Amino acid sequence: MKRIQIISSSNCKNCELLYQVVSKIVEAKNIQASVEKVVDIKEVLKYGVMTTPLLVVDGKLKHYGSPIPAPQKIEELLMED
Amino acid sequence: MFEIYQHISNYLVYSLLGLEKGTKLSMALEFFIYDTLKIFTLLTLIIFIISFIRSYFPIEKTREILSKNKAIALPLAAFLGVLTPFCSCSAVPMFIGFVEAGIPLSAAFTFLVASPMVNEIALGMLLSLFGLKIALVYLFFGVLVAIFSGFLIGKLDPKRLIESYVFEVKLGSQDIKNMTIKERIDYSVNNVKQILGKVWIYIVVAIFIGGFIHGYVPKDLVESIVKSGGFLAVPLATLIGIPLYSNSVGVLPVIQALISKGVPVGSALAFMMATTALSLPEFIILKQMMKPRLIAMFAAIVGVSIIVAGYLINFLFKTS
Repeated sequence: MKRIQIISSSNCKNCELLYQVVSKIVEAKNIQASVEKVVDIKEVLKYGVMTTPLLVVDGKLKHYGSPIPAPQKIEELLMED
Repeated sequence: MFEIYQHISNYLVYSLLGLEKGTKLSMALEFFIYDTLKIFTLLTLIIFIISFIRSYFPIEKTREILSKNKAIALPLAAFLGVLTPFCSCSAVPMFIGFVEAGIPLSAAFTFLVASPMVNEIALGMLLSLFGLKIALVYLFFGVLVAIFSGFLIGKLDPKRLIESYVFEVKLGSQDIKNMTIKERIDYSVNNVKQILGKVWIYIVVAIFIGGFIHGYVPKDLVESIVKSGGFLAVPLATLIGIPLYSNSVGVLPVIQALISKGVPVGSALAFMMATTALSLPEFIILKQMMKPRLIAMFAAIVGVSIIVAGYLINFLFKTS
């Protein structure tokens, strides 16, 4: 079971968009994973980046900043180890 | 270049809908279809090109350059702000990252103004509606407003009004990602899609209203309104712009129509600067690290600078 986190420092449009796209992909592709939204500036800084949203899978940073990647690319990011 | 669109709109209005030539309705509709096609083509192109350029200046790189050139950090922050992509939701981590790298607070504030103000959608709208000259005027005054605002806020000892955690947290380490050309193209295409996805409806409605103003509102009426209250147009445009989010630049076709009827251009540029540089959602985000007093100071200083810039632009265009 994977642990997917969408991390941001505030509730913004791009973060919400990424959360929705990821949730949709997880559901459509039947990926065994939990998807959670984390709004915490300290979590953002822990990964050493200054742009949000962050896509983190099992503690590994897969993407940060906007624009968010195309759905196909996000799917690849979720699948890879 | 856009002749094909003229043919398409002619075909749609006169052949497909079978409207009579020369009536107000058919002319307005023709104008609306032509303008919509033209503006979206230009916008797509311009946002793509600017996003591509901006992909070479990630915030991490800008932070590094600024921290190495502290003596000229203020003007440099404005210049790099123009080139660095910015999303207001990243304002807090960006600010903390700058502080941690030892960049002066004045330069951090300058960046906070310049980066959202001179952005791809604002430049895209200006270039496609008003042309290069006005876009350059906007760029120049945008940089000036950012430098001046940052300088002034820096003089007011803002540190006492910033939450102490900002100066304590440590940024983890992250290598600057090196993008391939293909990745930069993907990035730019995504940016075009996401920006247009957010603003297209505003733009279509605005072109529609703009078309109505072009066709039906008499020039004398606009001119007499401008004459009676024209002096207040700049502060009014700024005040209206402040609470709005940067998506509101989508309303620009309305403003363009008003300018063609006699509204001075400085008011339009002041409106754009205010919507992009300042917004209510951004104030809420900044509240995470700044005391309300500092946010009020920030808004007032930037707002007044924008009003002055608006008057200067009006003055320049009157005399030239």
